[in-house]
Amino acid sequence: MVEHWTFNPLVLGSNPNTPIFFSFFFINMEHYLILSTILFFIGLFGIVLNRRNILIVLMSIELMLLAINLNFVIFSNSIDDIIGQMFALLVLTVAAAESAIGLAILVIYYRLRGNILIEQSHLMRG
Amino acid sequence: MLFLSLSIMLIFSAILVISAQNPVHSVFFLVLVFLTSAFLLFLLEIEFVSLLFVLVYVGAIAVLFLFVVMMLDIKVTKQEKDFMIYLPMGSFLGLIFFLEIFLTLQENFVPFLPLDGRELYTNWLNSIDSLTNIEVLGQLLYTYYFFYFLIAGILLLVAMVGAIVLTLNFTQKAKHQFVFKQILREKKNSIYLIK
Repeated sequence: MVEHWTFNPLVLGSNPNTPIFFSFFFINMEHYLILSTILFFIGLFGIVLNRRNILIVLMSIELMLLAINLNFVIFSNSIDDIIGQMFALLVLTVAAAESAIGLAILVIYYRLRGNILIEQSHLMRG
Repeated sequence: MLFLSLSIMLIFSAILVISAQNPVHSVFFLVLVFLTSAFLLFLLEIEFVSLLFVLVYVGAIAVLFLFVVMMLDIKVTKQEKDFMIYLPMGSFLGLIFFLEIFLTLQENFVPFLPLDGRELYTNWLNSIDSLTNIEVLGQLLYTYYFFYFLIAGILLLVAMVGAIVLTLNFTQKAKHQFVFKQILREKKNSIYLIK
């Protein structure tokens, strides 16, 4: 029996003593995981279906890394193991470093080409 | 209810990130995605990682994106008909890939199986020690996993040096100070009397 009030959906979903009007529907861990998977696939679609500029690719990579981070933290919350959150911290560090380098390369690309359009990037010039 | 509204807002903002016409609007919706995911983590009673998401993702990465969007001349192009060529096949493959993961998630996870009447959720707050999220991470990060912490620091250093080295432009003329010339100035060199 949970003796402390909580809005934690994973607790409300698994506790049979929760009154029904207190939660809209019983949320399991699978709901969070499906959310994180949808986010990952939106980021993947952003890379594949991109026809405009290269900045959308970098933002989609950040979306995918955010989805993976959420995945780690959700599993860490349900298994009661803190190592998931620690790994999420390190993945956060890697995401920040990689976005910095990616944007620096984008700036140089713009300096050389004058634009960052996808359509003109397949032409191999010197 | 809160989870439902937040998740709808999250998916909506994520779709608008990749499909907004103006890239500045894309970055704004990316900030909204980060904030919404931080709020979702707040619901799980993970407060440190949630605030860390706000600090690092919004405060560093989204600000980087805003700087680049401000500096570059990004042309706002209209929706071209090339978009529709890849959409059916791409979404079909993506749907298959997504259904694979979705069907995998339908299985039961072990902690949620009620085994002989044991409590499914251990009330740690009633234990003798109660630790916050920061304390738990701090007890592990600096003692058992200090190597990863140091490696993360070196990684950030390398990224910083790399970003500076890539974008440093030596051909721009900057005004330099020649200190030795300033020191060598004497009164007989600098003051002239003109009749």
